Amino acid sequence: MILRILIGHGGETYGLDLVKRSNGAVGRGTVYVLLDRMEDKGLIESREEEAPTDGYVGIPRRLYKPTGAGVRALHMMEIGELIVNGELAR
Amino acid sequence: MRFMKLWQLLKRNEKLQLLLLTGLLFPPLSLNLLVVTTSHVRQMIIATIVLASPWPLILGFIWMHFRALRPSAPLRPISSSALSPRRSTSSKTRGPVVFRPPGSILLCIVSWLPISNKSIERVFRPLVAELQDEYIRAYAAGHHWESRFIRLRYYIAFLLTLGAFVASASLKRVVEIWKIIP
Repeated sequence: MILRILIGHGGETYGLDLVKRSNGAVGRGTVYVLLDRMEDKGLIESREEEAPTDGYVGIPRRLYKPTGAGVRALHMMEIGELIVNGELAR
Repeated sequence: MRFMKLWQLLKRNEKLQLLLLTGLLFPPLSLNLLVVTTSHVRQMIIATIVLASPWPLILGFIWMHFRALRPSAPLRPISSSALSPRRSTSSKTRGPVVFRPPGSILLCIVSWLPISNKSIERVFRPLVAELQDEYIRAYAAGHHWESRFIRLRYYIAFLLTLGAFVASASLKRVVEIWKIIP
């Protein structure tokens, strides 16, 4: 789900945006743990944004984007789903 | 009609009255009383420990939110009178007050826990960063109550994140140990 949103978004995005785009499928309390695990597996990469946006002060947010391995993993998962559903066999 | 039946039942049954009263005052205790009625002492003790353990933490967070941590101005201007040497020492006109940014206490708590710096950077700091971002946006827009609500919501999210992180790390460790065992 997270990979699909990240790839669909096209660029870098942050955790709260992922929560909003998932329509309740991913919660604020679990999104960062999931992103951490995915980063460990090399599916996504992250960096801190350079400067706070719109002149606000605070800790810089973390931006996430999918890696090549993440894109390939999603494609493989989609092919797997198609096979399970029997759409490729026809 | 159903309400009247329930009321009659409640009037007759003293045990049910006690359960209702304790349920209103302290929900875990009512569950304990349910266990007491089954006369299993060991179960009662375990239930008391398990059910009562998160309550001080939850109540502490609610108290911190509504009493100790008032909404703070992100960029509070310091007035010239506040910087003058002849300042009033009364509590209301003591001068500029420096507030911690929201979420700094959460990061302090995490830094005291046995969690690696890498995990703090990748799991907990982004959560606090987004708390501060959302809080400051709401506060700057003049929605003070919304900013309080945001803070409380992120405290709950923080507890959930901590729980999910501990569960995930424990599971990872168990899998590692399982792989080592021949």
